[in-house]
Amino acid sequence: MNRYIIVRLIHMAITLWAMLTLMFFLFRMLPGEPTMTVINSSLSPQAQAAMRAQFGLDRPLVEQYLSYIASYARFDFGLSFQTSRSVSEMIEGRLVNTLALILPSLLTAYGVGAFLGAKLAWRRGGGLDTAVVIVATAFQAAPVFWVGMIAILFFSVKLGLFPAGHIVTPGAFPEPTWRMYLSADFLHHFALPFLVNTAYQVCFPLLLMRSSMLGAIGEDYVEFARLKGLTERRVLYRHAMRNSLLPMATTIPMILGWAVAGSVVIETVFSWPGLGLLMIEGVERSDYPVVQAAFFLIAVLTILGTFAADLLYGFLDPRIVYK
Amino acid sequence: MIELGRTFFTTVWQTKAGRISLLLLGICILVALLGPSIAPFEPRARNYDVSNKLLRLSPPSRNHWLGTTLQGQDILSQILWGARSALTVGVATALGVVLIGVNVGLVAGYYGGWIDALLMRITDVFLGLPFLPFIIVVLSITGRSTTTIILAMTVVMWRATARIVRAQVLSLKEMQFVAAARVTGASDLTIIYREIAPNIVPLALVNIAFSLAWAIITEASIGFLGYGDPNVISWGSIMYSAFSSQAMYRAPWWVVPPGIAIMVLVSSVYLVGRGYERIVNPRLDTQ
Amino acid sequence: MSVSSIQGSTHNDVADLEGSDESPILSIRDLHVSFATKRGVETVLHGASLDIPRGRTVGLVGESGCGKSTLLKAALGALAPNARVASGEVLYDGINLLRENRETLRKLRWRKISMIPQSALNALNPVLRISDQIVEAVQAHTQASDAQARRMAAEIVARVGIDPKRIDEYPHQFSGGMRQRAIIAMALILEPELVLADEPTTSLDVIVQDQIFRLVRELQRLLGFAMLLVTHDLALVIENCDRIAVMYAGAIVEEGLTSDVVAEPFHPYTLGLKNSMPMLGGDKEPISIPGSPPDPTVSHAGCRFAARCPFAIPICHSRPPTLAPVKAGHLAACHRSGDAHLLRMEAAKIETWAA
Repeated sequence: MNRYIIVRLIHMAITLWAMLTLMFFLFRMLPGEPTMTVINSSLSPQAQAAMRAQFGLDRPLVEQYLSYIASYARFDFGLSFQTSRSVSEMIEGRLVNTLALILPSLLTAYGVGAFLGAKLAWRRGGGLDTAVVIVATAFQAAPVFWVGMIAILFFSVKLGLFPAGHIVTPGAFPEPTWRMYLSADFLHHFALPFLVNTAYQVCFPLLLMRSSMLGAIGEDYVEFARLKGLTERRVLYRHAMRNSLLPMATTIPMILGWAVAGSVVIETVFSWPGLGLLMIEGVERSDYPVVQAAFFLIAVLTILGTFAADLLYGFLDPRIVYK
Repeated sequence: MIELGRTFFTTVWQTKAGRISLLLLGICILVALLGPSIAPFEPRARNYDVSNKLLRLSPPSRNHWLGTTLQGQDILSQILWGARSALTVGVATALGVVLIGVNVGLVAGYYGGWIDALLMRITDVFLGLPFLPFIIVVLSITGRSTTTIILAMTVVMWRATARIVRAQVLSLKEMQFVAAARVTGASDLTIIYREIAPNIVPLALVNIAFSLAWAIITEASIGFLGYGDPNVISWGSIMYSAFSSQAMYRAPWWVVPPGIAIMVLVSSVYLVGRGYERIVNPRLDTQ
Repeated sequence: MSVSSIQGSTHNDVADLEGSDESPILSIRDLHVSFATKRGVETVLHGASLDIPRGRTVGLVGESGCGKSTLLKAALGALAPNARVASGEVLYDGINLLRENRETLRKLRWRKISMIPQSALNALNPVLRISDQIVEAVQAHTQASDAQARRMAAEIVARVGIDPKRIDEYPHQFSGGMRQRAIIAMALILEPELVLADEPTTSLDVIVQDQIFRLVRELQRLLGFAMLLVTHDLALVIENCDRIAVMYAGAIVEEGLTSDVVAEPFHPYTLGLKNSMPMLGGDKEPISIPGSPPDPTVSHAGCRFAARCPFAIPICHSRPPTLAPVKAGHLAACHRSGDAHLLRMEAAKIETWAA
């Protein structure tokens, strides 16, 4: 098992490094780079020099690359072209906001989805089953941002139950603190994007769990467990459900990558100040240090998620580890 | 190739769900092909009422079944035109994805060793790439056109197919017919493409369907964020206009139709794929 | 409660059960079971009747599709939810399993009736350790603690010839023969009164098969359980079973002491079976029974074997025969059982069985 973890860690390190290198070349190709014409000329000379130093454009490529890797390894993302503030400072709050939205909704979606899917499968058919399958399949096909817009139209504009966007009432919390995240104002703004995202994400685990449970129920070992005189409950949880969790676990990296990368659209619809929105804003303003840093963090989250999912899978299915 | 299409079609036709989704898909394709011809108005033309006042943001009426936009454009016509973009981009991307993914998967799975390790690490990197942010960055570099959108999406999506194909190849590789082919002195390339590849075809077909579904949604997302091809009407760009003008709050008829269109198209594609998959890859799940 | 506590108890080797006044441990009486399927209503069991005496082994022989598996499931009270029991009873020690509620059935299972399935690989959950799967069977029916249950598992597993240190491994780490032994250990750990064995060695080679059956016979001598051995292999039955029951198209057509039935079969199907399985060393060619079993969705008047039977007479097609004694302790369902000695002679000739 330890060997398995170490191998996965090495893979992750290689992937991160390769990602950084890819980004290095990619961002060099963005328009306006490296001519520096986009640098806000109102930046102080020190700031300009620091910028130049970070991008080190007058130095040989290899040196640029190495200093780039070095600073990123320290999570030093340089200074924003727009505001000359440290990108790392700007990005901290944004990272938290994205995670605050994505993680709870993914966890809830998977938890609820798996539970409902298992229940449906165990019931084995009926009108409710067919109805749920149809609705879930159709709902999956709708773009999440569209669902968000409809939700805003209905719950916010028409019914006035929730605010139409943003993370808190503008001006209520000039500096984001942890207290902000616990405030009622935050929760009020959090509710709609959370619900929309969760509702959207729930379809997939629900359908998947349902179909793999149906498969598991048909398996001989489930029937044999019943013949052994185990209680229905035990057969359901220990045999059918446990083995159905495997296909579910393998989908988590895919879904996580999707969710994090797709957070861009949800954040746009709800004006939720997260990483995705930051990146889009950065691109619009040609503020490349910001874009690069935001992109990097999103990629890191995705890769970490894959790593975590691999570990989980190794834990659940001993056949992989003992290969 | 035609044989393939025919078997695919007949296979899906077997189930009731398959039939319904094929019909739906057929309708969508028809709309895409005929859309521009049957659209009542030019999608970007501004429409005026009898007293020559611009029909801004008017709700559904007899002349304009789905109402008009902030610029007085007929929404129904825009929807009809948008089908074309969705399908063109979607199909092109799906084909590209499967072509690259299948080949990479075949080579990696068959040769194993360092080739496999190298290819798999490369796919890992691409898997780690967040798809929308990456596409946006690429489009900033290359400019926004239908071609660049297709290319950017393909680059991001092929990795999943490669993984799936590779897994399949790994198990096929051990089978009798491969050993037999080797014994008769067939070259590696022949084995890969004559012996193993035909067995991958069902998997590839399923993958095309699912990739298509994904591509349509992603194209809409790109459009929604404002990075769609400016010369093309797409469902995503309709929603972008609605959202960015902030007028959507007063005009649900602007927002609802594009989403429904996407839902219908994607559902039918997805169900067709599932219908085929269920027959070709029977697992024990009942319906 | 542990296996070792009954060490030393021997089983009374009574060769002749005639006149035994012990009631059978399992008695299936006139069971009619059908299933609703896409192709129509399939009647799988047509008045099947079978008695299994305590402590004895009964071999159930029949071709694929004759209803053996359904009969086994019925014996456990584990028929599928879509099974319809038109009539009949399944009496375990006097309790009708078909009438009891789920909880009673659950309690009976494994403690009183256990099963050795055909494929251990399929019956074992691949992601749980072997020890866990044995322990859960124990704890589902007793108050044993984890430690106690593990001890019992280790003991029984050693008894079947598996190294007890290996019980914490996973099913895929065991060889086929070892998996089957593990399953047998699991089936016997609670010392049931009846063991249902469904073709337990089909997937194994003959040598391992032989070892397994030696093991089972020894354990039966020690623990005294009755066994129903379902198989399509007549030779296996001759070697291991006291009594034999021959099943065809959903009903038992002949039943009696193995030696009796094999030496002097009464039912034409049994005659046919005997022909198709020549003994090693003999120079007789196997003669197969032409035709195929009847369609379960179609109901027949008369004997269900009549269509393939070379000795059928008009009454065979109109009235179904009943399973009746033809000798002491020997039952057969055939209108022509009176002519059995003649039929036996004819059956030996190839021409009789020409299609």
